[in-house]
Amino acid sequence: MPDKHNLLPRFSTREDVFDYLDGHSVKTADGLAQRHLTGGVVKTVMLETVPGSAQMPPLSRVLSLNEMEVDWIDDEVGFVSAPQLGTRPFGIVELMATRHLAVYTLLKSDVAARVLNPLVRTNPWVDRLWLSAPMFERLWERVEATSHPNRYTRLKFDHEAFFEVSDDDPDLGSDVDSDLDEGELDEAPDDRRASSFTLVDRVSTIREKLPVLQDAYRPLESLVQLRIPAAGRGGHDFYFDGRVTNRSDSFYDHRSNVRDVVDLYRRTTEASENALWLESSIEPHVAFRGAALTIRFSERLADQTFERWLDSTFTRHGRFRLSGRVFRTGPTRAQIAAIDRHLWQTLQMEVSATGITALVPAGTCGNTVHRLITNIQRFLDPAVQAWLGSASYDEVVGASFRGAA
Amino acid sequence: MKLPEAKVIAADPVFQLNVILWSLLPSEGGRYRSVLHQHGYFLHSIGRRLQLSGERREALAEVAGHGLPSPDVLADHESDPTMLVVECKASSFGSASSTSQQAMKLLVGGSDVADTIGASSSRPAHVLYATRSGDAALLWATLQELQSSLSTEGLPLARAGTLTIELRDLGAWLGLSHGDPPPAPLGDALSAPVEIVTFEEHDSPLPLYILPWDPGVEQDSRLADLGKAVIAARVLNEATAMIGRASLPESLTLNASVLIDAATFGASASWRSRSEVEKVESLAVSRLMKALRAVRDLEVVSHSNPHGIDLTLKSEEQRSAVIDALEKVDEWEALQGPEQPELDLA
Repeated sequence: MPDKHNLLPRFSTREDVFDYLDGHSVKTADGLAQRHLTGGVVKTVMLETVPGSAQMPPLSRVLSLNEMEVDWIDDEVGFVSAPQLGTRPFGIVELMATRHLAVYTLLKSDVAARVLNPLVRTNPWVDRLWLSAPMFERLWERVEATSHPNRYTRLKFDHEAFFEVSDDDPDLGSDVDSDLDEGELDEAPDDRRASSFTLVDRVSTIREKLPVLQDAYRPLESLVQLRIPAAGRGGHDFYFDGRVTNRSDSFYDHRSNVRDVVDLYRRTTEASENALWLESSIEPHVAFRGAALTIRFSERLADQTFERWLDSTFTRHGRFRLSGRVFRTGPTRAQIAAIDRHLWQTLQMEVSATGITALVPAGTCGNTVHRLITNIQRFLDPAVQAWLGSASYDEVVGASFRGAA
Repeated sequence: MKLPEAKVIAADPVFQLNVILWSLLPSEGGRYRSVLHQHGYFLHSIGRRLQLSGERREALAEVAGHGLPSPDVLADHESDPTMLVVECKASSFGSASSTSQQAMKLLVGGSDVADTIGASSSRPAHVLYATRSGDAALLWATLQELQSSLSTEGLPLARAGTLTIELRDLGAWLGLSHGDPPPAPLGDALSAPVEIVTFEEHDSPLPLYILPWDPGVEQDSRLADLGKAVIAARVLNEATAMIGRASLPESLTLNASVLIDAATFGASASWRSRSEVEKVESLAVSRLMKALRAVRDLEVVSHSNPHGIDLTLKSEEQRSAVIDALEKVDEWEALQGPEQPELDLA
């Protein structure tokens, strides 16, 4: 019977699995399995689990909270299945370092989203990788440095001034994870600023023109997608929310690029956590277990925009998935006892028309910081700046990427 | 509820403590200026008890009474050997007042804080009283009197001085006003008053509370009510977050002291008034219980030693109902009985 979902056959070694995804003929217990397409169109979702938590159950148990089942091939690679798609695996899960994982799948995008979005939305131990604009900028610099100037690449920028509308908008409460489609911005109403640009050109041309364009138009600071050229044809499309699409002819090249980005992300996350925690906890007996995160908007929010953002954000179904108890301390200022509903961690925030200060408890996942910055960049201010304690977020990201060079 | 006028806020020890903490906490790019951190200081501890040798305690007992002092803040420096002992005060006090007994202990205890921090060799501290600017001169005169009388007893003394906290020009300013020669980095940091927090017109002059409330500190009732509401909001959030993270089915305990510890970034361990802390823990548990009892089929039991609640979450529906119930609890009512009106900024 034809498999309408592109589910996977089972193999006994990781090499067989990867060969199959690469388009080779691989022998299974039932005969010979071969993909119709070679190499490409594997979708990957990069995920992060809560670091260093004694409470976190083993990964198999974590995924079972969403009724997913993992059948491990070895210590790092396993088949993952979901009941709504039957018993055959829909993907391969690969552990990378201690807290990151990638799920490779051949499912169509809409089916993959239906299976994997609830995992992130409802599981307190799992979050996406959130690639902020400063991270994409560093990745782009790497592409510039390592690709032939005549190779084509693709960059996408988007920013939707989501809170600027003055009329009632029934969609205001929907959270950011529920609608992660590429066409999201195309459907934005016409009565607020929404900018979505895709640049496809040679590396050398983009290198020359991009800084000029960014100087002229701030939404072009909000880089949300980048194609990293492959060693052969095509490339790998990395999205801001940790999704990756393989548009090359090699799964091995795809996996290698995913591993590179996960490694860079890990370094950045650890450096962010160090910047937050080391400065504030030089001695182990310090009584205060928290640190300050500062986010500054590139320009002051209009009063109405601030009101709209405040009213719609810190609610149970708010777009940033932060709920909170709000204490107004000024016309455009409030203190908020907030909860990050992705990972169920608390944080204390002060929000104003000029920025955000957050006191984050020691041990808060660096991913919370990346996610907050990425969401603000996309929906509130495309050129937002941030500091972790007294360290500039841009510099922390830059140093992490340079350290990995 | 309308917040009190600026001069009452400036004299509030919890407000003062938060200004001092923001001067020590690394931050850039926003409205807080961590001037002491920029000059090498960092927060060592909040409310830590200063250790005094038996000999000095005996010598002090007659003039300063029993017990050891717990200053609001102890700050260390990345290279300078002199630590800072900071105590916040609403106003000046005379040498005959009961507060002067605590000051004497700080002056003697601050002469060497090695035992307090577990250091192997001597560590002097500079004792600083933070108060509103109009009271600093009088307070320094009192400290000088105390230094003089302790000196005649042959006791070792820390150098001392006063910090001023002022609300003016849309900012909270920290200054070094009177006192003995300060340690060099402190003198450099505060050679002139520094604006630690900036405000905008019509803002309440409150920083983001690091510590919103201390049950042992006397405060204007409106500021105390606000602080309690903020703590209650944080405690409710900590409980909600625990419920959100639970792997179902799971039996878990909401321990009041753990929730309050998390809500205060670990500083509640230093709260001095244990009877008040007990009261707060008991109130938190009773309010949480009231909310949880309303959830259908939830197994929930409270206990008082330690104050806490045991509950068993069986399903996602139940988790959702518990979170819903906790999110409906009014933070203004949670730790202070009758419901308070919202903050009025007018």
